[in-house]
Amino acid sequence: MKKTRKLRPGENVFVYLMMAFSLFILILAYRIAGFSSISSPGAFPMAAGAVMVISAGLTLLGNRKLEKPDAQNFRDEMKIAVKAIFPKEFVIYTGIVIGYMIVLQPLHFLPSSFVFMAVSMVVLRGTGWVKSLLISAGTLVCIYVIFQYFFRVIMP
Amino acid sequence: MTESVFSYFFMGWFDPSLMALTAAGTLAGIYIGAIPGLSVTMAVSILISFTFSWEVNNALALMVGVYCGGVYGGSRTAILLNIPGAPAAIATSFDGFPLAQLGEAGRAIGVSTVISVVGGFIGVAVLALAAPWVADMALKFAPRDYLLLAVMGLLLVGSLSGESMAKGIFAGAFGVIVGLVGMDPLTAEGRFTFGTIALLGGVHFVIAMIGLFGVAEALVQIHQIDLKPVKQDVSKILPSWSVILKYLPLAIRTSFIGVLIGALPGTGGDIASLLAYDHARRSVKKPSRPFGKGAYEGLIAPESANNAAIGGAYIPMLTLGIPGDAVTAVIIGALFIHGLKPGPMLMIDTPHLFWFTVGNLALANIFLLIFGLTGIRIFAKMVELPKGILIPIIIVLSVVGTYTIQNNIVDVYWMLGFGIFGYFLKLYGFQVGPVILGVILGPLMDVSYRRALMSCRNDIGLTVQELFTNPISLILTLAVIWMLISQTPVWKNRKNRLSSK
Repeated sequence: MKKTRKLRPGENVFVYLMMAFSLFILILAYRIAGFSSISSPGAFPMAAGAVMVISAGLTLLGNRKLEKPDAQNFRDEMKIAVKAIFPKEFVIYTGIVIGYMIVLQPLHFLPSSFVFMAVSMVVLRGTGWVKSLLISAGTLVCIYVIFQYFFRVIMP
Repeated sequence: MTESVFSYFFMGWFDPSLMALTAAGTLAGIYIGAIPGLSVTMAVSILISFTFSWEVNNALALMVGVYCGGVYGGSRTAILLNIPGAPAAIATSFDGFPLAQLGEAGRAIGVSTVISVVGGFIGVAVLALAAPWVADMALKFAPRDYLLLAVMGLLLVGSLSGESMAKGIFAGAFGVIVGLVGMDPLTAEGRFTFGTIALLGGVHFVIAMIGLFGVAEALVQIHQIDLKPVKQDVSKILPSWSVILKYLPLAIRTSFIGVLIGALPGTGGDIASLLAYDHARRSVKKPSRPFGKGAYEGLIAPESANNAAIGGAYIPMLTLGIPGDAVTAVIIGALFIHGLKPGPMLMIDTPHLFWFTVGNLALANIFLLIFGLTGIRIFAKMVELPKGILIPIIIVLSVVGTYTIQNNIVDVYWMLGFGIFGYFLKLYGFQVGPVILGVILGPLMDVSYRRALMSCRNDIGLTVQELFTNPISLILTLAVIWMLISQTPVWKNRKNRLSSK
């Protein structure tokens, strides 16, 4: 027997977004070569785009059979969804990761990664300041030796 | 003749320097393979310049070692961190990572080591005994057969979809689109590039792999940041004989899949291990645990297949001068540089090379067993690090690994984009496995589909007819049809009713 599960808050909104994205892909795929030939460069992308649209549609249909999430109205659901998808730790940490990627090139790899690792270990409550500085330094030395000395890979 | 075969075969075994080089290569390969972003292809390419002035046998011994070790090494990080160290280890992560979450990482690595060696030896045996025959068959594969193989691989979506088949298919089709971004290999036309040059080169699938598996997993883990990591049981790493014997029949079957896929030009360990995983899901009636939740069968199938694919990849390379995968393509380059002429005449001009390579591969597999079973305790303990320490390390490794592929910072942004998108997919019950499946198989499907049609002058009727008249195509077509039927609810219900009787 299939167990019916509850819809996750915001799940349908996400699938609708995916549906819109699929339609956008399908249009892009059509614009590659139209219906010129069954072996045109656009034929396979169009097929894949169509599969995306259809499967997103089927997901929406399937979701109709599931129980609604525990929310009074749409606004309430969105509120719950935002809380579930973006917990405080996640927002802070993703912010740190994005910041790291931005400063990666201007600050160079070693200093930016050192600061990133040390800060995020403390933020994520992995360990205290002293230990996080030591672990970051150790990890970076390992990475640097392996990539730069043995493989002569260029670092960002 | 037999005497010389033996002397060539054991050349690397009795020469201390050759033996040391094979050993060093294998050891280095394991760690290269384990680090995402450092690929075997890259390592072997670097070794070419490094060994330029060496004697050819020494250079080849080192490369064989790195190749064997690297293909195996990818499983380490796949099991421990859910980041496949190499594309050939993608399927390993499906059941390997759940095993680590159950606290059985040590045992999982132990089993995968032994089984990899079993697969490796089967690959070597086929290479030694049936190389000309397999090479002949591999060359008979037409574009439509590659298409059928890719379809077979894509059918794996059915078993990787998780809670909803439609969601799995969506993820797979999305992966196909990602794989198609860039210049069309047949017409050099840009697809999904928005007119920019930056996208013309396409999205390297390792970038998608690192983002979807590594970063997305790290972001999901933040939700349970204070959860204590699972204690790893490292008391019993070496699998007992009875365990190995129990899984041996499956390992032998999947190894043969590995050899054949490896021998096909253009397909390597990544596709071999995915098809092997699919085979295990279909053929094993009572797995040790449900697939995807830590079944040892799901670990054994890809691990035996990807190492068996090494022997397979050498088959067309040594007999015909056609590379079986990317690494053997690079090795062909190395042979050229050292003044040899890879091609159909290679075995006649330099007969020792064939048996020397076979012997070396066998030797590398022995070293793989020795080195693979050491250091597992330390590796397994790595997972016990608090998540707050592990996650930043994963992110930095992902960044370095992505950047090294093409030395392009844009790739790092792509990787992060995949990571965040993967996070959303995971939260809403879409699996990331099918995405990566699509990225790998999509381009192969696209090109072989169009080649197959073009070879029949775009005549669909003729193409379909060829699917049933050519012997190889017929076997593959029937296999695909059977796979499709066995996934339908009608068939599954019937089977359940029969088994309950």
